[in-house]
Amino acid sequence: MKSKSKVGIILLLILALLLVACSGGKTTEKTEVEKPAATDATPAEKTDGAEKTDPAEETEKEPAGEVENVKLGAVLPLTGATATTGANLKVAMEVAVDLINNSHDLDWDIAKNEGIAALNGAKIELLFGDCQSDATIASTEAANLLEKDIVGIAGAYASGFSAAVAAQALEYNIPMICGSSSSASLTDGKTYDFASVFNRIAANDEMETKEFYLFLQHLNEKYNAGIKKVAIAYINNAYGIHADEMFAQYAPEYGFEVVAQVAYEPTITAADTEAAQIINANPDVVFQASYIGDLTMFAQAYKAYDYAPKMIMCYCGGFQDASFAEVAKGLGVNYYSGGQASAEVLSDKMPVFKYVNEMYKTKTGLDIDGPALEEFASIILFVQAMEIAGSSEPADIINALRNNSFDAPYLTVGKIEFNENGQNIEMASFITQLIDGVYQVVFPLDEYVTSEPIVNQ
Amino acid sequence: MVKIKNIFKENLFALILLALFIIVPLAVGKNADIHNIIIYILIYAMVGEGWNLITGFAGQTSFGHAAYFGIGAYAVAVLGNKYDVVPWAGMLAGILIATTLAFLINFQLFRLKGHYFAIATLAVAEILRTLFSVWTYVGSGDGIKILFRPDNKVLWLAIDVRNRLPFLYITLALFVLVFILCKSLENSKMGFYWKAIRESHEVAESIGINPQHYKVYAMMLSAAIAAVGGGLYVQFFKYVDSVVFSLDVSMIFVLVTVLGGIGNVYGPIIGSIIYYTLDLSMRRLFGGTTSGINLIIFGILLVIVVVYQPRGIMGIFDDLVNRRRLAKEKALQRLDTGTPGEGSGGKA
Amino acid sequence: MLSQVIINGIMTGFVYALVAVGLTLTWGVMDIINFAHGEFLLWGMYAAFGLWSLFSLDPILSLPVSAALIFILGVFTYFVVVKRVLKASGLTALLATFGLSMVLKNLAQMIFTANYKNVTNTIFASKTIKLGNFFIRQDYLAAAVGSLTLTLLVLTFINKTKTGVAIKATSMNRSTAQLMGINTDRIFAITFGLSGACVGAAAALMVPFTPITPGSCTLYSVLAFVIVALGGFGNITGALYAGLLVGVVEAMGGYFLGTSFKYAIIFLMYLIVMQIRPKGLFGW
Repeated sequence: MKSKSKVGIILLLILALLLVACSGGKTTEKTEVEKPAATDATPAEKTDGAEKTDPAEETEKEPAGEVENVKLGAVLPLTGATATTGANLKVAMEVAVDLINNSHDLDWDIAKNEGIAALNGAKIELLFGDCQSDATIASTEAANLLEKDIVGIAGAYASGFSAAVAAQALEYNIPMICGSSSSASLTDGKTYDFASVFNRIAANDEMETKEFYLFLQHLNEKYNAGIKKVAIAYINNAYGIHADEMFAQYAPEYGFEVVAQVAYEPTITAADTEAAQIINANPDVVFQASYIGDLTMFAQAYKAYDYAPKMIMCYCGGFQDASFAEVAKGLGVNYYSGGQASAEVLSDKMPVFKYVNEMYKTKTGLDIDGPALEEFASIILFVQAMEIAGSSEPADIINALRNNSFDAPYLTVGKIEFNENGQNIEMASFITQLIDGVYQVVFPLDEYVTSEPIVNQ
Repeated sequence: MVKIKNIFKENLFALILLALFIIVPLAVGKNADIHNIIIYILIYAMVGEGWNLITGFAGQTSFGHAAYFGIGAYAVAVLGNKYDVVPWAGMLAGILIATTLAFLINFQLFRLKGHYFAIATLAVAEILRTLFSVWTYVGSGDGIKILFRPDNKVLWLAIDVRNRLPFLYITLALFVLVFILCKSLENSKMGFYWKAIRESHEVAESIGINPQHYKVYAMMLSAAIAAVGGGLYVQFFKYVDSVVFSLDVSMIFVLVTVLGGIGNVYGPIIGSIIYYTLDLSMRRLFGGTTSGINLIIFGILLVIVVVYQPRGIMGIFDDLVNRRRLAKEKALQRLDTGTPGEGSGGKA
Repeated sequence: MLSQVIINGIMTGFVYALVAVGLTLTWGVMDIINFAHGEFLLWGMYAAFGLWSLFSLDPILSLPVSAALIFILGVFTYFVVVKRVLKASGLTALLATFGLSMVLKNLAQMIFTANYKNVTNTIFASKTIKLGNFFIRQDYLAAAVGSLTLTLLVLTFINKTKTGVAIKATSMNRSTAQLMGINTDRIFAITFGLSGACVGAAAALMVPFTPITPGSCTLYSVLAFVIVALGGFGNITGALYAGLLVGVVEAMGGYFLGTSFKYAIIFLMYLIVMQIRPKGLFGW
């Protein structure tokens, strides 16, 4: 019995080693086969008219000798602490791939065309890596994808993970488009050295802070809100620290007085002490840089201690999670606002957004939220850049991304354009307020506003 | 000649391992995935060797080795980032700081015994985690990074990501040094004292050893090795934040060593190989989905291995070696005395 | 606001205590560190959540069910995993339960997804009692009272019942207990189950104010480690007092020194206390 089990274990271990050896072998084989194919694929297949007349067949079987797939990679936290969002972001990216690869009845070239027109209808193949909500694994997963001849990499939600992936992308000189990370330091041009390959769609916390203060001024002017004192509660990580920094930096400029800055550990089990410190300072408006779990605990604590500020402004993050809408509704409060790139109420005004949202909703049962829409955009952008460049060479994509303005009919601003540090200079998000559990657009573009803001008095 | 042959024979297993570590990275060709995992294996095995000194040999369980690991990492990152100090000098500084810290803290902590001590080490690491997460100079919650230096390839060799081989072999060389150090410590007077302390404080005292002192020595050596590991870790990732001090990281050293066989110098490396090969193969076979199925299977495999081999993987080899030796002794006795199967050999 | 903070600290402390009592049972009695303790708590929460969302059963009412479910999980863990590594060093069991914790955590993600789950509209949810200047959250109060009651119940069980005395005897000396005719196997299984029942119950008390996701219990298990050591291994009364102490120190430390330090202060307190009492507050 005993010796048998030991033999079993040894066998098991050998098996494991073999598996790795095999998976390793496979990847090397693949790269060897595909490299020559990729180089001669573009001109040779182009003249083949017979293939093109039969589009049905093209979609049915993946042709071996035809146009080579273009490979993109994405690193996302699919398991671990931030898996909540990771899973949804993956679906959003898959929706983008579906739109690109198949023909859709929508007045938008990307969706109408099958594959990438400039590359003879080449299809996108998206490879995923799971960073397990760990920056070190993000780094190695990125390296693994980068070795597989991808021409661009997307991800990775949390600012820390994105930085880890971008550092790898720089080594390989492969363009990265980061959808939803918000830390300003990613694109400030000095904290990191990967600006040459890095592009970020989401508004960073600097832009968001300015917009928040503009919104508060707007409330003061138009609705006589009388907002003067502001405070912030922020999670002590790359996301929260920079939100806090910007919050404190711009408050005087817009005429607000900072009365409290409360930092908390990412692992908190209750937010009562933190909430107590905020309540003690008695601000008119509270800013929150929190993820969904902590934001929920704060919301419960504020409510329990009968504290109702005029408004609570949430940096992207927990506020965008659809489950927070239920929390706020359950507590019966309407004073939560925050940045969002997406709101279901806009469907009637934006047909492309509506279409995307419906595709997403059939897969997840949820309306598409800000981060998901931004990650969706990252895949679309890669294709738009390839269409413009007429090439799938990483260097050409990098150039195209930097030097063009891209059409984005799924965003309220309608376009995306990156500056020299890779920041999208168009404000991707607008301000929404949770009114009776529905995200209503309240600021700043008049034609998209769906509701008047409600100031809690 | 005979002597060399003996050394060769005694360390056959180690030499086979070494040969594998030299050949496999070359054999897989340019495969960053496998190179990365081998570096992982070596770094964590190295710190595991350090942890093994204090816990496996001296018998004082530490759940806080991330403290020294993290300090080693931060020393390299901070010096490199702020003062342009090359990582190798940074690692020396890390060793110094970690050893000093180990001395100062553990002189007090070793008054505690058993689990009380283990939790105290955890407390130290957790306090450091908080301090580093709010200390703006080291980047607080943002962490700190070292930048790529293409201008000085020799000194900043390790920072080159595209070609992992040089860094891999440097890590391997450092691991071999640590391994030899630990192996010679095991057979030294010091190692003997440690084991005496592990078995019984009272006995150790009765043969004239001051357990306090020798435990502190073990901890300082252990901390130094952990700091080297941390220094390599930060050069590998080029970035470190306060998460490096967390219990999860401390647990890795415990897990790989216990998996391989605690109190055995081969334990950490064998455990690390098994742990990360399983982890990686499960990730490549079943990963990339949102279900976490790879981690479930990995967990189940871990449980199975532990349940069937509670003394660690090295237990299998020990059993094999023992059985062979027993058989050999029996055979010898039969030759000597002519009485088959009986004699003192069985009792020994 | 300070008195408010202290009151919250005390109430949190009771909950910490119940989680720690579960851990001290296995750690103190069997000398087994159950690394999956936090995941037991997690599954307790999902059990309470499941019962609430399927049958709209209030967690307070379904407490016995979630306690029973985790009791079974505990017994199962003992027979399948822990029993087989009892003879090896304590760290082996740690490794085995680590593997188990990985399975339990990711299984939870597979079944419930990583999306945060909230149990809302419970009997005591977001209601408060106003006493002059401060508020007492009813959900906290219910959790505190429930935790205290259950802790006292466990204490009585250990001290007064025959099984309880057998558990105590086994904790003092395994082989002697065996010689005295105690079926230690059965005792261990019961202890593990009881430990599970404690966290199962704690989970049901916590869900009204804790968002649930596969990662939400990590900190609870680390704090439980400290509380158990602070109170003295295997000492249930010790764990109760230590839990309270940790709760209050966390709240006050966070209030005065800044909330980023609220957990560091607990660990610092542990180190200081241990210098004065190297075997825990109540250990000899």
